[in-house]
Formats: sequence, C-alpha cells, structure tokens
Amino acid sequence: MRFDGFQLFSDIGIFVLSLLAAMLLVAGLVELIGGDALAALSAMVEGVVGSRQAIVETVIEATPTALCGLAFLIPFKAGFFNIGAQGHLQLGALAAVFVTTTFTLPAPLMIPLALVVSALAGMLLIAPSLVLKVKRGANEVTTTVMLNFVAIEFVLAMVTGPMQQPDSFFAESNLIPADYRLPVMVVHVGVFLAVAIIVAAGWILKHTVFGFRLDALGGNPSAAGALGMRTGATLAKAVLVAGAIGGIAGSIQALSVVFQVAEHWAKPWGFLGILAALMGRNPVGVIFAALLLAGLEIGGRNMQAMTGVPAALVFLLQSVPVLLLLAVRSTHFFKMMSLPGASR
Amino acid sequence: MIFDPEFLLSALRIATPLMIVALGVLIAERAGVLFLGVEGVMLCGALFGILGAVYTGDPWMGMMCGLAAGVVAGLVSAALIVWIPTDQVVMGLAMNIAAIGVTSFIFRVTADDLQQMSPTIDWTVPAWAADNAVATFLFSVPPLAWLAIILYAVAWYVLFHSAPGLLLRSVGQSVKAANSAGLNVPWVRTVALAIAGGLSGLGGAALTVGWVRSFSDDITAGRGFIALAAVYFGRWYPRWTLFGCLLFGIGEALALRTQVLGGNPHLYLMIPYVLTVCVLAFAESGRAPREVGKPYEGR
Amino acid sequence: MGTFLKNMGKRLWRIAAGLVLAGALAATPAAAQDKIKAAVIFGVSNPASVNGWDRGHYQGVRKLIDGYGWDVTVAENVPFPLIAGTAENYAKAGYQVVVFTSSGQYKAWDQVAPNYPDTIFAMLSTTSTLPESKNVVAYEPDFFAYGVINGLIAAQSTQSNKIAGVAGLPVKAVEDMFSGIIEGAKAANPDVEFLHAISGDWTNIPRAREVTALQIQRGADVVLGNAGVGTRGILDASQSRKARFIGYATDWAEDAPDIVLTSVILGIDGWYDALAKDVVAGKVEPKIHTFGAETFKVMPLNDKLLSAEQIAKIEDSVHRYQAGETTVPVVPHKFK
Repeated sequence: MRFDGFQLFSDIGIFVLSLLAAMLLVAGLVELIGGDALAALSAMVEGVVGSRQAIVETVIEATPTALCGLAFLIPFKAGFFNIGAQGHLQLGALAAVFVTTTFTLPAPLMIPLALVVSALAGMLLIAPSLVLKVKRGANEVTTTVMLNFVAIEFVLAMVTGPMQQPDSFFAESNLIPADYRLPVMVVHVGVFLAVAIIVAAGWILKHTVFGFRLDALGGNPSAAGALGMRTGATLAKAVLVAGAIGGIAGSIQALSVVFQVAEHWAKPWGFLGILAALMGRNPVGVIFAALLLAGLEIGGRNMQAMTGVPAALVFLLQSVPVLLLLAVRSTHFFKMMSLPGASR
Repeated sequence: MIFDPEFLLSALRIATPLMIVALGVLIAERAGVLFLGVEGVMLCGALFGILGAVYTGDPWMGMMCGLAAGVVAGLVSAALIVWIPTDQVVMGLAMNIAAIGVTSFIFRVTADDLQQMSPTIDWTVPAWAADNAVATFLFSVPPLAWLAIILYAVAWYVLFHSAPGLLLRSVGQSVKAANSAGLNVPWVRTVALAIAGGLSGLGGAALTVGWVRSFSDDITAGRGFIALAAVYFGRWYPRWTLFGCLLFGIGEALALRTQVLGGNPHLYLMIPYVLTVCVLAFAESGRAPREVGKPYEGR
Repeated sequence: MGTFLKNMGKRLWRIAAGLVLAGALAATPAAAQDKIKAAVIFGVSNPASVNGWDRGHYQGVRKLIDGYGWDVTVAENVPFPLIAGTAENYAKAGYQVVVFTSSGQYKAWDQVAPNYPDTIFAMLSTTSTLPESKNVVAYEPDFFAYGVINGLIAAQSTQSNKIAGVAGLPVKAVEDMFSGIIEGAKAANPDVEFLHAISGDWTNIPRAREVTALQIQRGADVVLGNAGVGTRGILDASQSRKARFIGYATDWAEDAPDIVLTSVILGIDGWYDALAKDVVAGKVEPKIHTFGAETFKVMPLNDKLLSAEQIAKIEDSVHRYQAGETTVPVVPHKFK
C-alpha cells in the first residue's frame, strides 16, 4: 500500500476540524447548563497533552483499543464479523489473573505463560462462533454478541465466587503480585508488545501468502475455493488469531493497568476497537485511530473530573468527532478533491 | 414454581421490547442497511417515551413520543448512512455512543429531579375474565406484545406478498438491478430507516414506559444488539426473528427464576445467551440480503 | 490546489494556537481562596438522580458545599481503570480532600494515598482495612445493624410472613445487610421467611424488576431493594403488584407514595459532616469510623398502609434496638 500523503494530511485536517466542531458543541452545552466552557475545554486539552503523564495515559488507553481493532480487522478481511473482542478480552484478563494468582513461577516464565493462556482463552471463546459459522452457516454476529455476554457473566461469577478476594467488600479478584506485573519504561511494556503484534500483523497481511489468501477469501469466497484454496483453514486461522489477540489485549490490561478483574473493570474497548478498525482500515491506521479515540476519552474524562460537567458530554466528545470525520470524508465533494489514483 | 404462567408472562415482558425493535432492524436490513445504530435509536425512544409519558400523564402519548423520536433518529441515520453515504458500521457504533451522551444530557436537563414513576398502562384483567385462568393469562400479556405480533404479521404480509415489500427487498438484494428497474435506492432506504427508527424508538419506549416505568443512563444496556442478533438468528425472516426474541425472553426469565436453586446467580444469568447459541447449533443456514453493509455509491 | 491547502493549513494553525492560548489563560489559577478544595469520585453517572446510596452521597456533597462552604468538584461515571488516575490528578492539582464513595475504589485509594501526603483521602464506604498512610480516614455504616432495623420493620408489617430482599451483587455489604434483615425479622416475628435475589448488576433496571416480580409471586409482600440504579425496577415491580417497599439509604416516599412503608435513612450526609469537622479541626487520622444503629433514622411510617398500633409497635421496637435495650446476635448468613 502506498503511503498516501494527501490522504493522511487531509484525514488529520478533517479530524482537527471535526474535533473543534465537537469542542464547540460541548462548550455550548456546558454554557447552557451554567458551567464554565473555557475551563472545561482547557481541562480537556490538558488531559491529553498537558503533561508527559497525560500523553502516557493516552497511549496506555489506546493499547487495548488498537489490539481489539486488529482482532476485528483480520477476520473482517475474510468476511467474518468479529464482534466478540470484548468477550475475548474479558476472558483473557481473567485467565491472566487466574494464572498469576494461583501459581508461582519465576517472572520470565510466568508472564509469557499468562499471555499464552489468555490467548488460548480468547481462542476458546471464539471457537464456537467459528464452528457454527462453518458447519451451520450460523451468522457470527449473533454468536459473537451472545458469547460476549457469556464471558462477562462468567467473569462476574468468578469475582463473586471462587476468585473473589477474601475480605473484600467489592466484587474483585486478588491482585496480581508485583513480580508478575509488566515493567514500565515510560509506558508499560505491554504497549510495545501491542505495537509489535500490530506491526507484525500488518506485515503478514501484506507480504505473505496468508495475507493474500485472506484477501481472496474476503473478496470472492467461491472463486477462492474454486482455485483450490483451503478456505476453511484460512478462515479458521484468521478467526482464531483474532480471538487470541483479543485475549492478549485483556491480559495486557490485567498485567499492566488494572492488576485484577472485578465488576465493571473493563471499558468497551472491543467496540471502540471495531470503530478504530474501520476508521483506520489497516493495522497501522488502527493505531492512529485508537490513539485518536483514546485522546478523546482521556481528555473528556479529565474535563469531567476537573470541572464537574455532566459525564454525558464525554460520550458526545468521543462520538461527534468520529461522526463528523467520517461524514466529511465520505462526501462526494471531498472525494472530488482527492487526487486521482489516491487509495480509498 | 419455575415453569408456570407467570414465567411465560415474565418472558413475554422481556421479549416485547426486543420483538418491536427487531422488526425495525429486519426492515432496515432487508433494505440493505446494516442497522448497527439500533441501540442508540432504541435509547432515544426510551428517553422520549418517559419524558412524554411523565409530562402528559399518558403512557400512550409517551409511546408516541418514543416512536416519533425514533423516526427522527432513523432519518438522521439515513442522512448519514444513505445520503452522504458513510460506512454503516462505524456510523452505527458512533451513533450509539452519541445517543448515550445525548439522552443522558437531555434527561439531566429536563428531568433531573424526576422521582415519580411513569404512569401505568391501564390494561388490567377485566372482572368477567378473572375466574377463567386462560383469559386471565391472556389479559396479563402486555398489550404491546399483542401489538408486536400484529406488526409482525403485517410486516410478513407486506414484505413477502406485496409490491412495496418486493421493492424493498430488491433494494437489499441487488442495488444495480433495483436501480435499473427505476427504483430510487436512497429514498427506499430512507423510508426503510424511518420505519426501522420508528419501531426501534417504539421498542425503547416499550422498555421504559411499557415495562419498567423509569429511565436511566444507557438503560437499554445492549438490548438493541440483542434485537439485532435476533434478526441474524432469524435469517431475516419475520417469524424466526420473532422466535429468536421469544427464545431470549424465555432464557432471561429462566435465568432469573433458576436463581432460587442456589449457587452463584451469575452462572444462571448466562442462560439466555447460551440458549440462543445452542439453538443456532441446531438451526440451518440462511442467506443475508446481499447488499447489507455496502453503502450505495450512486449511479 | 497547493496554495489552497497551504492557506487552510495556516488557518488551522492559527485556530489551534488561539485555542491553546485560551486554554493556557483559563488554566491560570485564580487568587488563593480560603475555601477547602475537595473532590468526590462517583462511579455512577448523575448521582443526584439515583435514589439510594448515590443520592445519599450527593446530599453529603451538598452539605460540604452549602453547609461548610467547600469548593467541591464531583467526578462522575469514572471508569474503573481511571479511578486511581483521577484521584492522582486531583492530588496533583492541589485538592486538599479526595473522597471515595464506593468500596470498589479501594484499590485506587490504597495506590494513591501514600504518594500524596498533603492530601486527605477519605473512603466513605465499607472497608475493613486502611492504606498504609497517615493521610487516610474511613467512614462506614454498620450494615448488619442497618439490616436489623429493616428486618424489624418488615417483619412487623408483613401479612404473608414473607419478605424479600433484592440486591445488585452479592458483595459483603449486601450479605451483612441481608443477614441483619434475617436476624432482625426473626427477633420480631419468628415465622417470617426471607426471600433473597440478585439482579446481577448495579444498573440493570429490567432484570431487577423481573426478579422482584418473582419474589412477590413467591409470596413476599414487603420488599427491600438495594440494587443501585436498578432499584427503580424493584419499585416498579412492587408498585405493580401492590407489595410494600422499604426505602434504602434515602427517602423514597415521593417515588411511590402508595406503597412505600418508610425509608431507613443511612445517614450518609452525617459521614460527610464528620469528615468536614475532622478536616477543619485537623483531626484526621487513619481510622475507620463506623456508624451504628443510632445514626440510622426511620422515616415516619405510612399510616395509610399500617394501623396506628402497628406503627407504634414498630417504632418502639426500633427505638429499643437503637438504644441498645434489645440486642440481636450477629449471625452471618451465606447467600451464594
């Protein structure tokens, strides 16, 4: 894929304009209810870029979104709608917490083990959707959505039951011992791991036979089959890898940010990931989109916490720029402005 | 005690909002629009339903408000998804988040100190029926459930046995063919989205005004997605979609009742979702309307 | 095309610069004030509208603002992973007091308090331990005693001898409260059976509604609801079946006047009172202050639902328990 400079520049430009429009909207609403719009907006900006810590927080927040975005993107290329990333990350985190709080191993062995087990957990949860789709033609949208809820209830069952922290007043598990937590080098190491996974995935999708097969499968499955491609195996690999990545996203959160699982421990990174995947359209783009979404979230939350404006505005701040960005980007007017031959 | 008429009534109460919303999704999907924004539209209907019911004192006015709010939201979706057009999935998901923000904000500004419950729907078992068990049961079924069943019958007839339905489905099957037949695809999809929005809004109002009589932030909590899943479960056919919604209602009602058997309640709460997946394991495959998800690019 | 873009780019930079400048100006701290700067962290959105625990806390916040003149910022809908960061940002911004409103925020409390000794971190929810730091304090209720009072009232109001308790999740506070209800009910009326159910979530209204309908079907005619936002569903189910309701933590009489027997006020604003007094007097020390039976207030009982004799009897039994004249043994029950 050629790096399309115009596309990137215009995307950034439109995004900034969309963001400004959204900020104006939020400012207006804040004034409407008697708040201080300027204070709110400056708190928002500060929350994202006001300090090194703010930028670090944004990057950390973007990590699970980016991985879940990748987990959506890979099977999407093969025509499989993976809405299940949220469930995979729940089970992946649970698996990581279980492994690190139940067994004792030297850290260099434990951490990779936790990651592997969480990947397996994610694969385990997505497997029924895969099997039902292949064997029964059951739509994966239904099965992945349902299994999300199953995963959430299972985690709740664990944190109110066998894995509940003794003497806790809250539905939470034990904390992961400090030795097993991912080390921090400016940001926690999980960020680098996530970037490595995404870059590797990008390379695989573009430069290997597997990536080619995936594209063929997504483009025209019957043609691919007729040409002798083992479509079942390709799809299975893509879907299982997606489950694994979702699981790893969860375990990275558990090992480096929350250090446990609990009632409502997770944010909807699975769904934000889908948003990031479709905004970014390729693995590297997913990273940028995830950073954008994370910035909006962190900035919005800081705005709410520091100025006490209603939390509703945080949701608006997250969604309106995305809506505007996509709307503008898709208008015929804008498309006419694109240079001929620019990639879509 | 677990399986008794009350159980079925509970299942029907749970299923009713899903049924209405799922019908809306079905119509949109049959016209080729991937209606992922259903969760947001349902939430809008839920909010305006409560506001309408409380401020007019009449639950049916509340339903109308919810429906109207849904139509407006559906038209907004159409503007974004059909007319610009943009990617249906991203727009849908972003609109869901925006809807949480918008409804939360409006509720806060208009009804922050609202304490009373929304007025009850006047639909009680009449005196003459009180002795007969079957009649009592039938009158205890929420009136919106009957409405939903009627709407499904109407939709089935219109979609599969009438000209407008055929036009709608053709737009969902092949945009090129529909276009060459002279159909204005954007207009058909806009109408479909208006209807779908109206139904989703009505379903949201059915949840708040018709069932729990309160509103809270994100009260739909994923039920719009369940309705969407029901449509896919039902392979875009009205009767199987209805079945899917009822199945889910039965599952959730069962989950809440089996709790009395002891043990961790969350394990029981998995039942509706596991049940749906299991039933899918025994069902057969179906084909989606081919154009679902693809924006209509123009002539 | 090129110059167009260049001009657009220039305009964008100007707008951005202007915005940043405006932000910097606005962020300049105002002149130092005598008001104590405090922050209160809620996990729920719009706590004032959520009757029960959260509104109770919100009333406490209003006491700090109106009664003590503090400058209080309310963080709401704070997601679990961001609680520690939010508390930290407050401490860094020079807030003098940070209040946690839920036991679920314990980990953040434990993590942040030791690093910012100049800020007081208070937990106004159930806890049995404190972070290892001098700048912490906790105020919590005795949920068992609270449950006993509820049990006394419910057991003496029920005609079917079945009372129901519906909660969001089976956490320790709920288990303590339910145990108290069982023991209190037994003390007043040994024939009473306590039905309990879990809705599964602190925000799911429909589930709470249906699970309550089931308890009423099973014969309960007095319902106690502790399900956070979901309690409104419990209220709806109770109202539809004409079961009586005992309000949790705050006054519920206006929500459904026809079925609300009374509300047992948890007195959360009293904890804020105690906190404010301790802060102003400089007497904050690492201690868990537990508020017992005497601090819970029972609202006037609904005379349309109960006879005068019943009301007198109930009030008497509650007063005697609160005064310590009658004791109820602390028997923990398991609910899972």
